[in-house]
Amino acid sequence: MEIKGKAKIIKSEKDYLSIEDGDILFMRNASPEIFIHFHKIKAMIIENTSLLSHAAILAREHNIPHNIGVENATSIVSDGEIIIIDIKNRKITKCKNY
Amino acid sequence: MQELLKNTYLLNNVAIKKDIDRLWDKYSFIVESKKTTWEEINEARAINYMMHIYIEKIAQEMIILRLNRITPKINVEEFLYLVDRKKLDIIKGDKILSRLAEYYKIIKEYKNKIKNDSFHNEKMFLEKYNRLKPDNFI
Repeated sequence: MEIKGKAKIIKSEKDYLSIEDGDILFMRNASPEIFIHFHKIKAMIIENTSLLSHAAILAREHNIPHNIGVENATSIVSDGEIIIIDIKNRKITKCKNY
Repeated sequence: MQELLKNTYLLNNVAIKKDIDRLWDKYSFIVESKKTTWEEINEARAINYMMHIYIEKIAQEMIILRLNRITPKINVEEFLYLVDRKKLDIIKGDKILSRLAEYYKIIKEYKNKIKNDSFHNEKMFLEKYNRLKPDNFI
C-alpha cells in the first residue's frame, strides 16, 4: 500500500495542534490524546517497537496504516516534506514535486 | 508484580485483572492522598513504570509466546488487529485465542484508565511529585 502525503514530525504533545489534513506522522510514541486528530492523518510511522504502545493500539483501532519499530522515525524525513510511504515493504520515498 | 507475573504465566485472566486493579488502587491512593510522602510518591512512580514495562514488553512477549503454539498460525499483528477492530469470529472459535483476547482487553483497559482528566492521573502525580521533591535531590 503506497500513501502520498506531507511528513509531520511529532516530538511532543504540542505538535498535535499543528497536525493538518493528509499528514503522515513520524513519532517516537504517542499519548492517547492524539486520537482526536486521527480524522486528518493518512498514516503513522512509529519508532516505539512495542505492539502494545498507545500509538500502535490507536492506529489499529482506527485502521490507520502504520509501521512500528522504525529506527530514528523523527529524523529520517523533514517536517513538511512530501513523501510516499510503502507500508507493506516499510519504504519511504522523498518526492521532488507534489 | 511477582504475583502478576505468575498469573500471566498461567494466563489466569481473573487473577491478572485482580493484580492489575490492586496495583492501580495503590497507585491511585498514593497519588490522591493528602498525606503522601516523598517515599510513597516514588512507590507510585515505580508502579507506573513497572506497569509500563509489563505492558509494552512482558505482555507482548506472552501473547507472542502463546500464539506461536497455536495452529493454524496467526501472527501477533493479525491477532491484535482482529481484537482491536472487533472482528472476533475467528477468535471465538478457539479457546486459547479467546483467553488471549480477553487478556489483551484487560491490558487495554489499564492503558486507557483516566482519572481527574488525565491518563493514569498523570497531572496530579506530576504536581505532587514536583512538590514533594527535595531541593537537593539528584
